[in-house]
Amino acid sequence: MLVAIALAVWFGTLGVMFWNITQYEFRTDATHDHATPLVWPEESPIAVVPNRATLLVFLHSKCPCSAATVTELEQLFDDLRMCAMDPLPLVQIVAVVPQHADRSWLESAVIRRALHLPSAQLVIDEEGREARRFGAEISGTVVYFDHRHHLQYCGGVTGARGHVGNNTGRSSLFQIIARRRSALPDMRPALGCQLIQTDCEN
Amino acid sequence: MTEAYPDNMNSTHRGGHQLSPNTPKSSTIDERANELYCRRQRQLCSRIDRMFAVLMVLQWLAAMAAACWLTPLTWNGAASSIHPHVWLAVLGGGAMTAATLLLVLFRSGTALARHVIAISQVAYSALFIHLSGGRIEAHFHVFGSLAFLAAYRDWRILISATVFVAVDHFLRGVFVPQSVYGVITVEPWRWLEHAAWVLFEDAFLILSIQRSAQDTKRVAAQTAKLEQQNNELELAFGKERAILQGALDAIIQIDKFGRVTAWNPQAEQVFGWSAAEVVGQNLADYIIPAEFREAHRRGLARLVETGRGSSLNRRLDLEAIDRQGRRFPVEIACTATHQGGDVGFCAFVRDISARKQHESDMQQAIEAANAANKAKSEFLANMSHEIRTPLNAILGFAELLNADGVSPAESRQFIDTIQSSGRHLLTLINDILDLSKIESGHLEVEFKPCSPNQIIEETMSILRVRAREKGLTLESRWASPVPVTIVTDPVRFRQALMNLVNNAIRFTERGSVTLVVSLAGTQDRPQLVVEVVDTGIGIAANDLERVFMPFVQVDSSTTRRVGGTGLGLAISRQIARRLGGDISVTSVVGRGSCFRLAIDTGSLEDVAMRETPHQIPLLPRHENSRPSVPQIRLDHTRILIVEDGEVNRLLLTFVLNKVGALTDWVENGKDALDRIAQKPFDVVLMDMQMPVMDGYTATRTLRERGCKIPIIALTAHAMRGDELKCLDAGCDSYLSKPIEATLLVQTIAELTTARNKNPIPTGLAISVPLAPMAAQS
Repeated sequence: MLVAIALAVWFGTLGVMFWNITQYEFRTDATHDHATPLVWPEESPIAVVPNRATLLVFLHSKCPCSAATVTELEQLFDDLRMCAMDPLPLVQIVAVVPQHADRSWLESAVIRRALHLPSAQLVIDEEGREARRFGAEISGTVVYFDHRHHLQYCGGVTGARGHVGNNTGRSSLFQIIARRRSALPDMRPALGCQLIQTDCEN
Repeated sequence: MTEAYPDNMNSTHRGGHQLSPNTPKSSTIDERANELYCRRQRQLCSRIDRMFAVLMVLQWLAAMAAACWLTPLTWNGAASSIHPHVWLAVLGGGAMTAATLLLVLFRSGTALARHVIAISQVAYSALFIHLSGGRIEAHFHVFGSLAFLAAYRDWRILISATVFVAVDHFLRGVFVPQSVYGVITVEPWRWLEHAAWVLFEDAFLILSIQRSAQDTKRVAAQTAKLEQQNNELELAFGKERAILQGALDAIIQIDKFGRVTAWNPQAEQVFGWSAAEVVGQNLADYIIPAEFREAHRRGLARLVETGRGSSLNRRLDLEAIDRQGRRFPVEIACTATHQGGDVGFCAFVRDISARKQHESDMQQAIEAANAANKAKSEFLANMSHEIRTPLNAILGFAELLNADGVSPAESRQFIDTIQSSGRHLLTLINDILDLSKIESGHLEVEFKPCSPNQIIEETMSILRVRAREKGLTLESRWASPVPVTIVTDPVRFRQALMNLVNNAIRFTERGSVTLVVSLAGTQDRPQLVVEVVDTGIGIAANDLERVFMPFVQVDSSTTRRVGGTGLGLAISRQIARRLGGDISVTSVVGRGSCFRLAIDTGSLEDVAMRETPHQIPLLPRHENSRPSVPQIRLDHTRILIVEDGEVNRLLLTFVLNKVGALTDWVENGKDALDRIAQKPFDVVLMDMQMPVMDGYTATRTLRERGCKIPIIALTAHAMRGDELKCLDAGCDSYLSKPIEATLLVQTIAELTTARNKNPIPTGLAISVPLAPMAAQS
């Protein structure tokens, strides 16, 4: 009997832990306090190219979960090349860093890897001003403006926090970029660390 | 959860399987094989448990390291906190590892432990999938885990693990497919596909487990058979060892080269070599005498070559040597042995030294007994002759005396012959008595100062007549100064000397008998030596010692011719030895003999020495005088003869009446008491052995009553000690039968004379006992 109880407790403990971690991996912490502009805001210092789509990738330099976002974007661009997409969207890697951040923030693994995306450019976003401007709260948020600089997509490209693999976010983005289809209703939320510090914990 | 492998380790088979001889072998082997299989499985499971314990700890460390490396922190802007993955690795991994460690510690080898370990292991797969961000490669951990779990060789735990994986995938697939499949939307059967792949691996693993189990069972069965064979061998070896160890005989085994392969404790005891020293060495070099080794090697080679040999399967008496080189007889029985196609030999060896010695002793004893019997038979024959001869003379001449027409001269001659024959008979009986004393160890001697010169001269004087009758010269001379006195038993010394001289005269036909007297020995132990040298027939060298043996006579025919009992020398030697010396003899057949009598003299300090023999005036001899009637008179002496023998009574009455004594007689002690109470007597002659009341009791009673009448004991008991016994009973003197008339009269005269000097009032001696005697009667 004691053994059975111990086994039950043990199984329960494992179940609770796996349940919690699963919950955590699929939980989004976005507050939607800042809306994403439908048209590229002229006041943004981020450079755009006329008649060329722009893909903004908001990353927290030290967010471990965002590596999955970069992986998914790499897959996305591979898919776009397979479709002979040309020109590819201009990729702006917006690294959200604290004020007076040291080099470790700017040279993190996830930023370095993201900069390997095609035509990627780094934008240092101190205190998250651009992130707020574009309504990005969570690391891994991808915002896509078409060649007319109209908003087509804003959300995540991973199925779960830090998880790689096919997911509707990346699929939707691919459809929008490659098929030039208008924005789809099922944009996935980004799953990652908070770009801008909020009062509530993750 | 039931135990898959029953624990038989605490059964009677611990430390070795004991097979009962009454148990059917096949079922016993099957049981034992099953037991061995279960034990091996338990040992295997325990070992794999420990392996997984280590693996769990490693995986836990790996999980924590991976979590800390990949997702150490989660961020909220510039602020950070520990990532939940780290907590998952620490706590989740800790829970799985802890459960495993606890079970390994406390329930190792049990099915519960195996199943929990299996579930923990695949749970680690889920954990790694989480930590790796759902990487598909992390799923290989599931397959690796199952392969590891197959090491248990228990297909049931694969089922547990597989069920866990399937349920996990099913639940995730239903609720959070992205977490396990990497996509948001999946088909409902996707979990089945994953589970099917796992089952696919399970199928192969179960097959391999089954095959492995079969192999293990086969090995267990073989082991059980081997164990049984070992047990049987052990039993056989045990019996052999017990036989070897406990055997009374030395058991030695050698191989075909003659090298020792077994050497039991008895062999160690018999030969003095320990097993450690001998085993492996060549047997011949250790226990076989050098002159037999080559023959042994040849015989062994022939045995090995032909398998036949005269020494096999039979008992042989041989000679062996031990460690000290001592040669001793052994009895050996050898048999061939065969081991693994090689021939060997087993020998049972028994030290028969004691037996041989015993046999030798027995043979000697038998020979001695036969010789003694023969000697005794000869002696008895001789004694018979010796006794019959004088008896024949006594009876014959007595008959002639009784006949008419015998002249007085003839009568006197006949009477002399009868008397001589009687004396000879007496000598014969005395010799037998002496021998009896010697054989019973009761020869008593009385040491006192005496003159050797006197004893020698007296002896010569006594025997000179006999020597002269044979025409021999009997003389003595002193080879050295001789002490005036020595301390010895003069009676025994005289007896021994008389025997030697008498023998010398008897066995010498012509020539002389010479006594050579000298002082020999050492300063501390001087000895008087008398050599009796004759010119007689001599004694053969091999008979020199035999002449001293009782019942042995060198030549019976000679003895019969010359007379003698054949006991004199044996008696004389014993006497000499009791006197501290011995008798030895040297002789040349046909030329004569020299008997050397040596006796201790005692201390010679302050003892004068004499250079030459001194003639001693001799006492008058009775032998040559006519002994017919004593010259002493016993007129009016009242003598009571207490004697149950009528002849003796008549003889005594006749002798005593002849010298003037007044005699009365009774037949036993009781009548004597009555008669003494009624009449006065001057002397009582008391036979000591009588019916109704013996002489001892009668004498003792008389003395108790205060009777002072002299009592002379008359007894046929001539052994030493009898006299003392008589004197102790109250007798005043002692005379042994046959009674010499002269001595009897003389003794009575001495006693009565002494009494007359100190007279006892008549009736006083019997006044006291009258009343009780009357009362008793």
